[in-house]
Amino acid sequence: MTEAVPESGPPAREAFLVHVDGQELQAYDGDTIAAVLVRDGRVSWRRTRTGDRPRGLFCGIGACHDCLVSVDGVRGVRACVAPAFPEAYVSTDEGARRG
Amino acid sequence: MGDARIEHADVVVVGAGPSGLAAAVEASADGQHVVLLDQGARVGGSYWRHSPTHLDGSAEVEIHHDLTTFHRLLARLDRVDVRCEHTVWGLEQLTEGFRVRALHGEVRREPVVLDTASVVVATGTHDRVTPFRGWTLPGVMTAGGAQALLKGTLVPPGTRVLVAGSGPLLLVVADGLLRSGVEVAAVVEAGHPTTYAAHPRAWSGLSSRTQEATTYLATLARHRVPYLAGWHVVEAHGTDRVDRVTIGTRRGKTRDVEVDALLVSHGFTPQLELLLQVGPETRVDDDGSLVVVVDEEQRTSVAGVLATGEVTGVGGASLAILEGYVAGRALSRRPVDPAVHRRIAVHRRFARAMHAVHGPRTDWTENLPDGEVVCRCEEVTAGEIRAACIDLGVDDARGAKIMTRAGMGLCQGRMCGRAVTDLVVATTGRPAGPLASLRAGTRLPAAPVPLGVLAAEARDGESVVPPGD
Repeated sequence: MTEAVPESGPPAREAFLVHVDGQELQAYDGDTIAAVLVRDGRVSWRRTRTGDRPRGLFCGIGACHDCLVSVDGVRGVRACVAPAFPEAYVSTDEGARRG
Repeated sequence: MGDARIEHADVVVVGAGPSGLAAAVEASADGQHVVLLDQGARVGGSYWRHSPTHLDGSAEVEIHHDLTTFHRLLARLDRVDVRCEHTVWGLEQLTEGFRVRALHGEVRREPVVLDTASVVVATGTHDRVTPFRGWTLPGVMTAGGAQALLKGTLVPPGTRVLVAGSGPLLLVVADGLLRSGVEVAAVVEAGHPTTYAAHPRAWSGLSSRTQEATTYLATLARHRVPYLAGWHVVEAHGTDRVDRVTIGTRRGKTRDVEVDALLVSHGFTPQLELLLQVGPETRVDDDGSLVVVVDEEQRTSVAGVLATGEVTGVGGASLAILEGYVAGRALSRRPVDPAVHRRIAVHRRFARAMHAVHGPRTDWTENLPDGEVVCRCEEVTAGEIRAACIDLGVDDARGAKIMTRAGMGLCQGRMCGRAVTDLVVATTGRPAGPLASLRAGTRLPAAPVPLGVLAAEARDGESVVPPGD
């Protein structure tokens, strides 16, 4: 998926890398974890417990808990709320449980 | 996970959207210590969600509204103790004042405890989506959520999208997407906006609203995007993501549209979870939402707890700002110009017309097959809920929750609460008390909390989670 608005024109947002399932992805200051995943073309990053169905962003504002990921070993992180940060280790499909 | 020390404030405002910002700024004007808490990384809420560079005058596309008011509020925010990335999950009445509990950081989750004399709850809404075939497919998301993604991070939700549901938000979202270069296949509105004509007084005094709607429709026309009134989504198709959507009219005419994202909103659900913990008087609004009752100063029936914006009735950002202003003035004991109350009345009148035109439909239940998921978290199907009504005598959402687990998952019924109630009513034919049913979907905590935090609270000898239920 391409950016709707190119990262051109000052002031450009600071760019950094986050690690997603062992892959390095480009992120920008102000990104949520979900934004990094969607920009990479991902539409789902978790499977449900019972039906084994794919899930990604749904409510997009922190209410539905569909978009959970693990960040730096912490499970149950809402990707749509959590800001991306440099050297974050994001792991998908492990975030379903809180703990 | 350490134990939190208790901090003190005069006023805690929960939610830094238009309403909370206005309340915090006004309340702090007489030197009170006002703490403003918000879950987001930046203030502004959903309405003024922005990327970090936006306010610096970057080259980003203009997709924001009423930035003048936002800048004016930001300029007066220096007196307010602003704390972003704080998810508030607990509100408790003390012998004197209130205790507010939050977690700082979605990943770090540091417990924060604030004791305060007054609380302003301005927690806003999230989109309501009534279930349809295929609604759990990835690529199907709320229109408001897509808007948040776009405004906050400039990442578009798809390359060719369909915007569907009911209400003015559909036009706002389509406009923003088009300005950002996203292809919008169509805007599908289940209501009939021509019926606004039945409410001639609704628009009086609101020329800005009329102008806005005209601008949005002009954007659609310029991009040759069809605006299909009286149409609704029949089914989203795809295996692991949506790739096609069937839309239809009530007379059974259908059409297929190829897209890579479907953005849906059937109105809004005010986020009352926090308020309900202190048990204020509530009512069911014209759009079927459970909202809190407030007086002329935005005070709820619980002394010391004020509520502003969408939690008092869905009516949009302009109304929310005025309500926040009124609440903040009340807390700093300053008078409010009667003209402000007249403006509030004008906005409320418009909201009533809006609810009448786009108002809640319950006929979706007829078209939902037994196999379709209604509760996304616990993956409870329509068939399971219907069976619970027919075989087990369930006659309200609370019963459905106990017997089927619908509404028992991580979102605590936020997404499915209304849908489960509609489905139970449609199946039993008995109008179950909507108030009781909606309330049943809500209990402490207002957000999922790690067990470690609750354990630390329990060690302090306090019962955090109420017994029973």
